[in-house]
Amino acid sequence: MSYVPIKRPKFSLLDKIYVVELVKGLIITFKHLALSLMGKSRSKKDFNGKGVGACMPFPEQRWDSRLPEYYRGAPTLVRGEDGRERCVSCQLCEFICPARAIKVTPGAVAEGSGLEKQEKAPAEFEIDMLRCIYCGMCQEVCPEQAIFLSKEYLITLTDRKQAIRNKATLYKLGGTRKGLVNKWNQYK
Amino acid sequence: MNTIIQWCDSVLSNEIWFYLLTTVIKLVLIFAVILAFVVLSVWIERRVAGWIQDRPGPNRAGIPLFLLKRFGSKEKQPLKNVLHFFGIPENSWIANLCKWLRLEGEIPTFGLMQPCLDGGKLFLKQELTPSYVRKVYFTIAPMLVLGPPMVAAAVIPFASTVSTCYGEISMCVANLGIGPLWIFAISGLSVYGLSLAGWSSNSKYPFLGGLRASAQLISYEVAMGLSVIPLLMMFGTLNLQDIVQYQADNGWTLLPFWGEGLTLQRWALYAPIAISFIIFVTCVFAEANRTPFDMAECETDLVGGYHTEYSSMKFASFFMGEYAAMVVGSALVVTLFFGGWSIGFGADAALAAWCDWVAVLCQFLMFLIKLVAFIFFFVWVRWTLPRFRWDQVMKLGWLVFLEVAIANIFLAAAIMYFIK
Amino acid sequence: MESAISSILFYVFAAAAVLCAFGVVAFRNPVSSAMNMALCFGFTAAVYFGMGAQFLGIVQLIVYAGAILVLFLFIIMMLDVKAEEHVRKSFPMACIGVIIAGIFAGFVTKVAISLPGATDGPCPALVLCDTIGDLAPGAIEEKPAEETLAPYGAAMPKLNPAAAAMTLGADEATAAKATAFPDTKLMGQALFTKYNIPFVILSFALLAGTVGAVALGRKIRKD
Repeated sequence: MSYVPIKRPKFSLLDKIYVVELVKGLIITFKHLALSLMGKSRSKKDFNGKGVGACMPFPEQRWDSRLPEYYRGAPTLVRGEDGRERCVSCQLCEFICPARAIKVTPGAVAEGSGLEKQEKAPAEFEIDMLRCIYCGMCQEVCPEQAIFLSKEYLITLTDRKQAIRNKATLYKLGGTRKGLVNKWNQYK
Repeated sequence: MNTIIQWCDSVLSNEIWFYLLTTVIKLVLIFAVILAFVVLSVWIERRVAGWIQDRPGPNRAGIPLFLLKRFGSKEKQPLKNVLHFFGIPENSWIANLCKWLRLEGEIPTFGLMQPCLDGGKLFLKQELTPSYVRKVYFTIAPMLVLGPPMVAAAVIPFASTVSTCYGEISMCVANLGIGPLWIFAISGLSVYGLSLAGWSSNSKYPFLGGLRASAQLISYEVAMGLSVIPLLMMFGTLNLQDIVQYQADNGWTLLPFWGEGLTLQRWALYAPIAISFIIFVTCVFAEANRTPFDMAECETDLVGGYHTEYSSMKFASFFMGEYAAMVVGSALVVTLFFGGWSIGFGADAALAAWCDWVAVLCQFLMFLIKLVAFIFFFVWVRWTLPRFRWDQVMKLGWLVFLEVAIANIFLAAAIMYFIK
Repeated sequence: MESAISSILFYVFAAAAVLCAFGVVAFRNPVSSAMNMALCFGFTAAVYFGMGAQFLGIVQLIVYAGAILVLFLFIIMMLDVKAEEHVRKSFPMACIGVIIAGIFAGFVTKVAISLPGATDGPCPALVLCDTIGDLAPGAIEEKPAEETLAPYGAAMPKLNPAAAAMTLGADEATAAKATAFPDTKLMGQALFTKYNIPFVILSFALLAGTVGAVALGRKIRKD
């Protein structure tokens, strides 16, 4: 059988008159109302809330300490332990980005840096935070483990131009990441 | 000075001018009350919705005190600066009172400013009229929605009568002998606004919304009119001021605890009146397009309903109309079933004997309290019940309420005939 | 003075009603015609209100403007309005229409003139002047009541609350105190006593019509 027949509940006459059930519903909602007014909402503790209901009054209280490990915030670029820029400007993140928020301008690697083998390095790397949808695809696709989503969730702007984060900002936000990516290390 | 008083006296002595002036004052008062209650009911709606869903609702939009920066330096403690500016020491009782009122950052308004600010925002938003609409009807449709509830409120009495040296003032803009019918007729006209908005938008979903609105309003008007007949049979009059006076003397319709309300007949009539109450309140919900019956703006199947193509203040005036209809509907329910302005337990007559004006003021406050209570009930039901399906709405109107209302009339008549 | 004001309002509303009635025919857009008809009903109701027949006025609003015309609009909105706007009107049909309307208007005028007090009222301008005179402070006391009311009594047949109360069976003392015209009660009494049988017959006719409409509109299933 390709379908599951749903069992419809049999309504008694009292259910069909509807008024009694309606009053029951009203009592339930009134309970919620009274509890949130008294500051005793059921799931209040989970939110560390001090306000009415099970809510955290946001600007005064923050989520920061309660964000889960897997939280996806603003994307950032990272350096390795050795201080090397991990990004090799392969532009995979630019191509995968569903919102087309990322724009990479590839440039040459500085001569004498010992990284000539990786051929390219980003001359400029821009992420438009108005377009970014925090999906994490850039992090997933990056072969160099260079782009990571941080836990930053509070992005406020007064201007559209502020929304575009350039390479310097992204590296500043990302910082360094432990663990070497040895792909380009010829002495490994 | 004397001549001015004399002139005023002569003007007020003229029956026409006295009538005109008092009417205009009452008109302005009731208009202001309705508009204020539209704003207030938006606030009540959002706050109560929040509390029911374990949220605080809009609790911000206080009046920030940093606007008072000009009083002092650019420090971050505006209260201190203001106090300093006026030369008030920091541990005086005024300063403590201000601190107790939490005036340090902003003057709290508990979110009451939110609807006002939203209104301001809607005025400033870009107004977009699509090129394919029928412009004339597209423009007058919001007016036709907002206007009728305001006009309908004219017959609702908000206090008893005051006698002055120039004549009596009945605290009701139009003391008509056809009170409830006036409200049915005028609020029934708002259907033109809804259906014209739907039609003139020249787009599928608004049109369906307009059709639904007109079908629903007509269906529920029938049951609404029939459901109040047992009440009118009991009162013996259609004049709302007389109806409330009767309730003040003989017990509210649903709480008959004094005067003639203690007779056997009144308590035997309680059953038909309770049925009337349920039908009538449900029909008021349907007439005001409130949630269990907001088929015309059902976003799950109609995008946004009849106001899909509207923007800015035109869009908002549909909602103002809806809330005004809700306020007038609650006022009518309060007037018919909960004694309107009457304070109850014979307090009206006692107060009126002591001082007319005090009595009127107390009654007006009582009326407002009852009105707020009923608006709360409206909101409470909205956030409890899911929307009905369209066929269920029609079935409920035509197959249940109409029959029950007609049977109810016969029941009431039989009780009035057999139980004396 | 009450009568004078209502006389003026009568002329205003009557003129507006006639204009709207003309608009019903003149507009090409069916929705505009329907809206004009609604306005016409509204002004007619206003005329009833001015005469003191409040119940009749409000029934006009509830039944015609609030229900029947909304159903009209309901149907009209389903039409292709643009096609309707381009319908050509033929000359002979217009002639027939004018003749029928003329005959009907003649009948109505004949009946209206034959009513008591139809021709001996004052002209509207005079009524207006006198009303403005009444609005001066202290004007009412100077004139005796009969003098202020007399000229307009003929223009608008004034409804007499006391006499109406007597018809309803009140004794003379109570009837004299009556101020508002009990038109709801009078109409109810007339409908359910004197004209009870025609009323019931009409109701049955309407019921038959409803049943007929349902029978015609119902889909007949073949099983």
